[in-house]
Amino acid sequence: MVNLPTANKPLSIMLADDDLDDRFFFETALSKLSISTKLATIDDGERLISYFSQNSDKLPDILFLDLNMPRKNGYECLKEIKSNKKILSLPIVIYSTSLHEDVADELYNNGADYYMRKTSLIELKKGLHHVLTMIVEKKFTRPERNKFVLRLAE
Amino acid sequence: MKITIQKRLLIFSIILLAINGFLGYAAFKSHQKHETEELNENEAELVISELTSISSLGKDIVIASRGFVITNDSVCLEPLYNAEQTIFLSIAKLKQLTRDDPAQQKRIDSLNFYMSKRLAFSLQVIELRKKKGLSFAIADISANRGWHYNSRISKIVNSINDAENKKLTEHSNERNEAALGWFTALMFVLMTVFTILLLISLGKNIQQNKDREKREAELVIANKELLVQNERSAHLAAIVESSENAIISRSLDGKIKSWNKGAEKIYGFTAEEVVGKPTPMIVPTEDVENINRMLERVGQNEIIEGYEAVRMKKSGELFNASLYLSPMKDKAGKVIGISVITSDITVRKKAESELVKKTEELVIANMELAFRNEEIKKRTEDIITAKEKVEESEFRFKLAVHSGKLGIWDWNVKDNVMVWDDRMFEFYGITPNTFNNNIDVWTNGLHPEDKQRAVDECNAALNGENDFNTSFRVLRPDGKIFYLKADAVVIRDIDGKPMRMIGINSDISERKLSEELLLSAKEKVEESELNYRLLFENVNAAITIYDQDNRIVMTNNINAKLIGRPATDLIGKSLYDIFPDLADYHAERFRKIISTNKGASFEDVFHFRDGTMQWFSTMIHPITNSSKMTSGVQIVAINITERKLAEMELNNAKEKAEENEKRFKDISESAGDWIWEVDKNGIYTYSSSKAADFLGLKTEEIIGKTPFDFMPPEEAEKAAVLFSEIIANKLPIKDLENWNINKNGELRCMLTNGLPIIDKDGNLKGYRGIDKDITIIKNAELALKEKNEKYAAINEELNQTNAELLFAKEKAKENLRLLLESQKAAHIGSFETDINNRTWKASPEVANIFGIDNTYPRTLESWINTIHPDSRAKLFEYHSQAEKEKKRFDHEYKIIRLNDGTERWAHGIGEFEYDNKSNPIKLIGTIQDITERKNAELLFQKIYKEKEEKTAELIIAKEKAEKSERLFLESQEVAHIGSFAADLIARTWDASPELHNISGIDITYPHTMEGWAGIMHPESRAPLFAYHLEVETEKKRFDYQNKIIRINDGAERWVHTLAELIYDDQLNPVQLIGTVQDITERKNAELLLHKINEEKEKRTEELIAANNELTTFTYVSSHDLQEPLRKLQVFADMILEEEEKNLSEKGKGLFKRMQQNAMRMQALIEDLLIYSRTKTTENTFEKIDLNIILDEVKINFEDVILEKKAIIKTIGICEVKVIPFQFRQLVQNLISNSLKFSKPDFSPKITIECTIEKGDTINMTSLNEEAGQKKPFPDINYSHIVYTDNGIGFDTQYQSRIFDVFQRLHSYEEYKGTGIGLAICKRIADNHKGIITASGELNKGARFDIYIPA
Repeated sequence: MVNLPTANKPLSIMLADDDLDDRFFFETALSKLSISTKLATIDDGERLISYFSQNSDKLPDILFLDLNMPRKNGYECLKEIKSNKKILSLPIVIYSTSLHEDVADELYNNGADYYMRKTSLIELKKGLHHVLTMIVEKKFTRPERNKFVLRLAE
Repeated sequence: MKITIQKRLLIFSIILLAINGFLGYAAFKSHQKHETEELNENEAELVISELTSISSLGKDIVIASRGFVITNDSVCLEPLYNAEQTIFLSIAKLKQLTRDDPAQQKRIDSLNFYMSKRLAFSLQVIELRKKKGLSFAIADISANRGWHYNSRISKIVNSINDAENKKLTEHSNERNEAALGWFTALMFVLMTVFTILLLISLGKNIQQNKDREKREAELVIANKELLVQNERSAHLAAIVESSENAIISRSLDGKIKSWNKGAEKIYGFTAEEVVGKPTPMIVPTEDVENINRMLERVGQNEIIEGYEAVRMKKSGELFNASLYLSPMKDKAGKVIGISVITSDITVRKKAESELVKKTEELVIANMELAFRNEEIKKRTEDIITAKEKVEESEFRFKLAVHSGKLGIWDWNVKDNVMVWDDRMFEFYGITPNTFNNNIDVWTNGLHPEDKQRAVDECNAALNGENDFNTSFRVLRPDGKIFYLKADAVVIRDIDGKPMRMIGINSDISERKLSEELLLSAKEKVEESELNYRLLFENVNAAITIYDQDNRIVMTNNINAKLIGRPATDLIGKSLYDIFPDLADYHAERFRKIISTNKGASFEDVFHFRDGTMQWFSTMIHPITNSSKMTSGVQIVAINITERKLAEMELNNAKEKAEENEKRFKDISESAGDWIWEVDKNGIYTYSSSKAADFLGLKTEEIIGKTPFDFMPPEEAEKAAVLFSEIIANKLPIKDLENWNINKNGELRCMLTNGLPIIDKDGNLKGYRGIDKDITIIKNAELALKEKNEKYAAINEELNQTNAELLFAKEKAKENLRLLLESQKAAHIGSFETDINNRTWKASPEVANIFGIDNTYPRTLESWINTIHPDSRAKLFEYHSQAEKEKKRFDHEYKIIRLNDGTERWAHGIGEFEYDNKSNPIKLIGTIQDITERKNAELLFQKIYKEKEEKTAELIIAKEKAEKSERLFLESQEVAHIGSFAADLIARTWDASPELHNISGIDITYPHTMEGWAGIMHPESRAPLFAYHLEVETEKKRFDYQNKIIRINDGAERWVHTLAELIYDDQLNPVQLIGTVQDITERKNAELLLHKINEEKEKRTEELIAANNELTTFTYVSSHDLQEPLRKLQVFADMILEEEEKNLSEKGKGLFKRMQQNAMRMQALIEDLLIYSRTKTTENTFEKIDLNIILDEVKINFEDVILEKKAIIKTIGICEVKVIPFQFRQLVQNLISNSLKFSKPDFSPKITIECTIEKGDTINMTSLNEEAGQKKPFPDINYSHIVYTDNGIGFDTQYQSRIFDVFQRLHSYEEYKGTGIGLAICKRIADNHKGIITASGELNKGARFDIYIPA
């Protein structure tokens, strides 16, 4: 506990998802973790992009991005973020229900770092722990394609 | 007294003279003596030389004449003529040489006599040879007269020779003294000359001394005498020297002693070069021995005469020489030397060798001649035999030749001699005069395009490869083309070499000209005739065309009007019908024009029936046809009555002179023609106002000008020439046509007539005349001429077309040649029937034709048996008719060949012989077997007809096709086709009964365009009219379906009209011909079908839309359904986790079961999603290694594999052509199953093996057909993937159901699953056009066989 560098400064996490239930689940899962975090949520892609363009100096530590969103979906948001030099270094984890390998391919190629499926709460907790630990320990790196989709044993 | 130099010189001269006188005297004395001796010796030698020459020339004469007699070659006579010229000169010379010797003179006289005789005889023989031939000449020679003369001449020559030799011997001893004498003489001469010169120089001084003068004169005289003597001696020497012969004397030791000029000339050595030398190089080594022997003989006092040898000249050239060798003896008769006289006999020798050569040639020629004679004799015999043999066939042919158009030819192949009969000359268009009797006459006559083929065929026939049965075109010298059929037989000698070729040519040019083509040709001509006629009628002149028989071929209405009979009535009428009184007069005129081929113009007056009289200027021109033959005349008659009357009036006026001039002028002004007067210089002095009409000029503009001023330069030049002649002779101007330019620059043609105005003294004052404007007529004439030329060109074109047609036909016929091959040149037999005795006799060929032998009775009854029953009635009828009408029998009929019973065709040609009561007694003629020809003809007709049909107009073919179609349909009793023909001009139409039925009308219905429109359905009318217009403008076929209203019952019917528009020559549609079919039933069926199809299409579209909707629905629903399910699970989790303490155990259990159901539902939805996605037609095939897919799948099962210690291995690297994400799903499902259904205590083992198999080698027993399993395509290769595991397997009974959707073999509690996994596999295999089968046994693992096209 003593070693945790996050004690002073909580991790700044952003979640872009329009689904109220999922945001609730995310918050719940996050609260169960021992990592100190600060969550900001945005419920549509358009707003996400305009936020980043105005606050490029106040970026979160990590972005969880839903694909199915009104006005501007996750794919578009990903592309726009990765084409903006100021913010392209922002770690992005796709957070979505469905999983198709070809969709995953496209997302990986467009620069997404991880793909986390919306499944059970337990899995969500495991996934968040895994990803956030890497951020805290400054070990966050973009994985190989076969490790792109998070599969954490129960 | 002083002695002067002159005196001293004089004294010296005198002393010299004294010496000289002495010397002169001495020399004179000595010379006189020696000269006589010398002279005698020389003379003897010369005599011998001349004698040699003479005898040599004598020989020349004999040889020449003999040579000529044998060879008849005048070259041989040259030595004779040469000898004739020189021999008598030689004799004369000889006579002069021996003038002192009377005995020799006598001998020479007789030599002269016999030589003349000999020569005369030779010339006589030569004449004989020339005029009467060899045998006469030889007969004359053999009378021995020649030989007689020869022997006499020889004797005389010998005796002369002997006498001379004797003299020579006598003089030989004194020769040295003679030489001294010569020296003395020479000294004397020199002295004398010196003295004379001296004397001349002293002449003046010497004058004084008379004595001296006298002596001097005496000396001069003496000297003169001396000179004379010298001259004479020189003269003799010249004779010796001038002898053509070499005269050489030599001592016994072989040294040459003398060498004359002749020797120099012959041998080329000069005297200095050889005299005194022993062996001059004149004897060739070969002859040295001979000549030594000769010399030895001469040394023994023998004379050798006429020794012929080869001698050599200085130049090394060899020549033929005749030598005369005689001994030279001293007084004692001892031989001391030899004289050799050599004459060059090269010319004679050459003639001799020529003679030998000629004789040899003659012998050879004679032998050849004899051989040829023998051959000719043999050939003549052959020909006679052959002639006898063909006499019968010649008789046969005679009739055939005269009846059919047959020409006979006979070619002697060996000698290339061609014999033709008259018909052949007709065919080839040549006369016997231009006939060079060899094969070239035939080949030259052939049409260039047929020549090579015909010649090749002829050669083939000669080589025995083919019979000569062919046809070809002949291009005659007159340019006509004849089509000939030729048959021939080759007659061979015993060695099989062709000797003769005998054949027949028949003219097939006229045979069956294409009627259609002729018709169309006629139409063309008629068309041009129409144009021609229009022109005719528009000319203000009477035009008539007569043919050579003076019948009217064409005439125009103006002429008809003049004659007073309609033009149609005149065509074909003879001149004699129209002008009975003047016909002969006109006919003669026509004849003259036709024969000279030159047009002429006349002025005629005609008395018409109504009593009027009219004048015509008649221009008659010959008409030539395309072959430049005059075929009739064309007459253009212009009514000149008006002019004539004016002319007459003019004459009157002239008579009445001045007083009537005013009246004349009035008349002239009112006359239709231009009346004018010119003075003797041709300047207009008067011009009627008509000039304004003619030239557009006012009278004032004409007066003072000449007629030439109004003509084009060329015309003026021409006219001036004519006028000058007319004026010079004060002739009247008659019908002079001349071209003028009017004020507008247009050319006008005038017909000028005028009379000279002559004053009382007979001087020409000028001309007065009239001009008539004939421009229109002239132009019409020119146009007519042009038309005629066009007409001729069209004719030519037609001929050409005909020729082409014929040639095309010939080509077609050529195909029949093979069929005709079997046909022999001619199977013709001759017969003679005795009508009274009812018997007949015939040549053997007839027996062959009828298939009978000699035993067959030659009666009329038995003859009838040979006639085919089908032909009998017709034949008998023909026979009796021919008999009755006394015409030639010419009939083709069928016979039965009795020996083999076959049907044959025969062609009988014959002539009846009648007795004086006109009763037929005999029928003589020929029978020809024409079966092959007949068959060929029939076949040809058939083929020709077929060809004709094929080449017929498209419409006919189409109509025929339509007709046959109609017949076919009628027979089926379904089609209702009527036909119609609509006249688009008259706006009416005709219809067949069936069309009436279709339209529901009868014959009373108005068959007009309005009536027709009445039948059409109101809806159809406008589009139908539009279509009709379209057909007309695009000139296409009328093919249209429309509705009509059936008139009788008002029913709506559908009809289909097929028709063709017929156009006139201006391409205006005039007719519409076609068919109408009632297609209502078909149309209704079509419409129904169309409707059904439309509905079907609509429903298909709906179905597709529904399907798409469904797919979308499935996808969306299964995707969206997942969300609430997932959330349900999460909420359940959260309750179980966070509210656990608040829940009872039962509550917890219920919550868990709810959770499980939710999970199961989620699995179901996920599988359904996959299942629906595999259906989509996303089919990008890739070639991919199966191991790559496997590795990807393994990742998904990493945990389970680890946990269960599963082993997955592949055997062989298998590249498969698949849709990658689908195939990955397949593999995933199988592995998922294997891991799931593994036996509890065994670690799962999965083996994947891959091979390539061809479709037809796949073991079908493993495939389950009941489940609608597809079969592999036999020809393609499949990747065969065998998937096996060691799991629980399954009962074999389920292997067909295992792939069904929702098929489960275990309870959900035992093994969780949706029952969709293998259904997905099956679907994926299907998507790959592959096959998947399952097999297995319970507890022994499962096996899947997957076949995917490689």
